Amino acid sequence: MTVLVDRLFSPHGARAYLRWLTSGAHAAAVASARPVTQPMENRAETPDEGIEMARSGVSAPVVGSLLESVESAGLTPPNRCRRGVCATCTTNLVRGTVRDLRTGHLIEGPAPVRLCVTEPCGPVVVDL
Amino acid sequence: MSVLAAAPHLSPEQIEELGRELDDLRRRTVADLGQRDRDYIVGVLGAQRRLELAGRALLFAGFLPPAWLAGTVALSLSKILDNMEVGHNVMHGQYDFLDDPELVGTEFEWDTACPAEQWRHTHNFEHHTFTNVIGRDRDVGYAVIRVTPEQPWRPQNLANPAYAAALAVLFQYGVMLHGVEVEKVLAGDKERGELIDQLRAIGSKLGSQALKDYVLFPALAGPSFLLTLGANATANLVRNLWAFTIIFCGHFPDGVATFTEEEAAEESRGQWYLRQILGSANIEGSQLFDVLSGNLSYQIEHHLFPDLPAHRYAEMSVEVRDICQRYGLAYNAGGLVSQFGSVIRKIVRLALP
Repeated sequence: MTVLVDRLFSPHGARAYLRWLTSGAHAAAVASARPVTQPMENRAETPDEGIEMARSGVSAPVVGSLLESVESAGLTPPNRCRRGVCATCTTNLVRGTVRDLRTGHLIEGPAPVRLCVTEPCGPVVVDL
Repeated sequence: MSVLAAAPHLSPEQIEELGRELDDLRRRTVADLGQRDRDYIVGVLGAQRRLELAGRALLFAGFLPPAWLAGTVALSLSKILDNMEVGHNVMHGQYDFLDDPELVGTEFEWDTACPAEQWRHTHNFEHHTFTNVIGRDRDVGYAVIRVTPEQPWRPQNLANPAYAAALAVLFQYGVMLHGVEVEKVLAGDKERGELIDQLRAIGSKLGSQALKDYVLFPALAGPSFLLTLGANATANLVRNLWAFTIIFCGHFPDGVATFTEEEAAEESRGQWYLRQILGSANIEGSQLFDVLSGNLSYQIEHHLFPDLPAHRYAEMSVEVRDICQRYGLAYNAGGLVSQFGSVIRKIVRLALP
């Protein structure tokens, strides 16, 4: 029965739905009161150079964009447009700084970044 | 039409300069993102949830006609806000920078029949990368409606206006089936495993949506079962008609260009920007209209900067208009009646060869 009720409101489940429905602006406000970036627990240390992948433990040299670099190390993160449009490759930058290849602006981790249109500025750790 | 042929007065260097100006507008806007954007989207999200709660609550008293009407209006508005200003925009990753677990672009799910994951592929990737490229952007007529003379005429196009009317009424189901590529399935070209996975996800989403709107809340209303069911169906219909109207005004009014696959291949960044300008149209209206349209009233700005918070498009449009004027490019904008009238006339006209 619980499974059935949970499925009623999949993909979030019934309790999540009811919480969502009754929380109104309050929950959104609570969520928004958190700082824009939150610290993440990760076992990977910031590498001396190149890209460290926090979950797989693989490291990669920088050969172009973050996406091209991690692909050169054998990883295949989801991606489609490869030009910063579709947002499929959005991944958390755990530590370090990357540059947006379109505009040149810098993004400091922890922050979600698009692998296909950013390149590392120095050593970085990504959540892959 | 090729991007270069559509703007023959611009040299390749000028097109790249246009791209640099738009990148600069992007850079300045990104540098300014912050609390204002958080306050805005949290405010809209709060309004949407209050509307849904109020709507569902009022419908428990649906046997009183004013309560039924108010509840239906509130629920319609909730669905419109959820789909357009919140869902569509959040799923573009516009609010990823906030790092708010409720506003993650790749995880958001919305109050409509189409599974978000399938929509992210057809919309964010196919439509936004290959905007108005016939054969790649399946939003050009949604595989059933002829919206440009560059689509070859087929006898079934005689029913063009009927197909469009049916899609308007059933819009959420049209969006739901869009990723399945029914035309490919019928031609036997669809990969079986992919089709099964898609249909399974659709079945699950459709089931939960139908149970929520057509079984559970009506059942909770007890003797008002049919009144609540009718109200929920009406809210879905209102959202369908509204979304159809706004979305069709974005790319199908007169003056919007379409492109062929060969012509859009090997595009530079400037040419990509130029194609987005030439392939989109805005709807002029009030601020409330902008919110209810998910700011797709600024379709041109949305296509130039699909991942920037949509409530910024109004202020960015001042500069985009100026850039278009300086580069001699038409900035396609008009009121809702004028743009939608143009779309309807085109759909009727293109029913014939």
